[in-house]
Amino acid sequence: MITFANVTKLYPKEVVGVQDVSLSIEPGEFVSIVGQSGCGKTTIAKLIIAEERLTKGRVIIGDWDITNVSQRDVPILRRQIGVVFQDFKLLARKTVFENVAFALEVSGAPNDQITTVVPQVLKIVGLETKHDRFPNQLSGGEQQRVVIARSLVHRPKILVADEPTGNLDSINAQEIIDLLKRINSFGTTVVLVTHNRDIVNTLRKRVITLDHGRVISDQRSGKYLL
Amino acid sequence: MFISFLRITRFAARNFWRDIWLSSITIFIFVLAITLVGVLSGVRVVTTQAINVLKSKADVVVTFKVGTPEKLVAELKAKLESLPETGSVTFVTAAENLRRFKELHVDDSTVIQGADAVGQNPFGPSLKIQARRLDEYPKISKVLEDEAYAEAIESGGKSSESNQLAIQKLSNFTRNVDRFSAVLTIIFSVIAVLVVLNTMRIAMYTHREEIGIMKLVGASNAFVRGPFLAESVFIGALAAILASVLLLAGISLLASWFNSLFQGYDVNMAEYFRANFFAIFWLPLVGAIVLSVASAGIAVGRYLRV
Repeated sequence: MITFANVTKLYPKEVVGVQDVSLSIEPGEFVSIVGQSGCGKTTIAKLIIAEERLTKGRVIIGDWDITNVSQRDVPILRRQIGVVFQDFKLLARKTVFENVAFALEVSGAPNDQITTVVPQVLKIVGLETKHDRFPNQLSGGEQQRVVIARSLVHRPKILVADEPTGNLDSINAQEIIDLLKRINSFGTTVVLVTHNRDIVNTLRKRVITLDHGRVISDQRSGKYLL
Repeated sequence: MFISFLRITRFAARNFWRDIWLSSITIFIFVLAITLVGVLSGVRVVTTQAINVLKSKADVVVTFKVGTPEKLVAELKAKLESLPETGSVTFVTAAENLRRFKELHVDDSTVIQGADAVGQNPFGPSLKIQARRLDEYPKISKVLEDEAYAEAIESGGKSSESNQLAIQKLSNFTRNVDRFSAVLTIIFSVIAVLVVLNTMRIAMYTHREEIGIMKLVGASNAFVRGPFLAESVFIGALAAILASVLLLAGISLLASWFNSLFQGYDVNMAEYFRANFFAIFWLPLVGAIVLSVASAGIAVGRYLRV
């Protein structure tokens, strides 16, 4: 599903993002990418959604080699990959429904598809009764669930969650992880980028550990090493 | 495709409304530019009409001595008409000249009595000659210097110098207006482009969060750029409409002044502007939209990373 072959990403002034990273994630897997700040976790997430261009190597998503993906094709790629960030990225002046519908609106989905799909994904994340609330009327956990709902509207095969629990307390964080596990149980590949030791240790899923941009460990049912 | 177009338009309208002060300033600058160019074009039209009036007035009247045979005058008329430089030649008989004289002095009985006292028609026949172009009168005058006709000619043969001077002055003024208009149009166009460019830049900064989310959730590049370009169409179109309304109102207010200026001549300035309103309206409209979209296009290409 996701293949990194000897991938190196160097930022300006030769700052290393990731170096010579090779990994393969199978369809339906739940993988945690862990490591300390600056180890290259977020770089991997950004390379998957083509927000960053790699310096060397190859990245393949499904059958699609996105190493040199054109700007024109990036939106098509992003409709196949759901993305969840730590800072939510919700539009304050839109309701829950509108925030989720926004992802479909900007990709040209017809109105009847929007009115069908949005309530479905809101139900998955347990926010069907709060569809008319604004982000500032929701808790942090609820806001993150809206983001997850938005990432699901295109029915992606891959969900990349970059520190989705970073701004949440332990109860809300566990709820989000449970939701990600549930989404994974539907067959969606989940890539969780985190530095939360407790979450990784309770998941008992595959753990890839990075240090200074390199993969130092890849365990099938692992724990947080560092 | 159509639904995306509608949504882009809706997003653009919403952005326009949210940044209404910024949009208003941009429109104001555009209105100023278009109005100024419009006013200068109006001045040009007025001076051109004045030149045309003066040109139509400019003619050569040749008066023949009393008793000159009409056959000779008709011969000269035919000769003049055969010249490529000649626009028109009008033959006025001696009797007609007397009638016109009396008509002109109908309130002055002394003059009328004086004319009658002579006992016979004191006027000879005359020819009113108009050249195609003002600078062609000297060629026509040369024909009149021909010995066969010179002896019969009482007076005339040269175009009014005061007319030529006035035409020259107005022509110079029109040329200066043209130059001034061109310079001002360029200056205001550059200002308008810079204002739109910066308006779009600020709009992109204001909406950076929304743009980021759009890109994140898979909005096409056209959808990210579209609202900014559509907003620039709104700005250009609104500015052109407002400027046209202002210009039309100005023309209506000045209509009576225009008409009094050209009283007695076949010129109706207000009517001219009304008849040409769509040309006067469409040109700024298309110009403003093209300029606005081009500026937004530069801003989008330069500052909006998709």
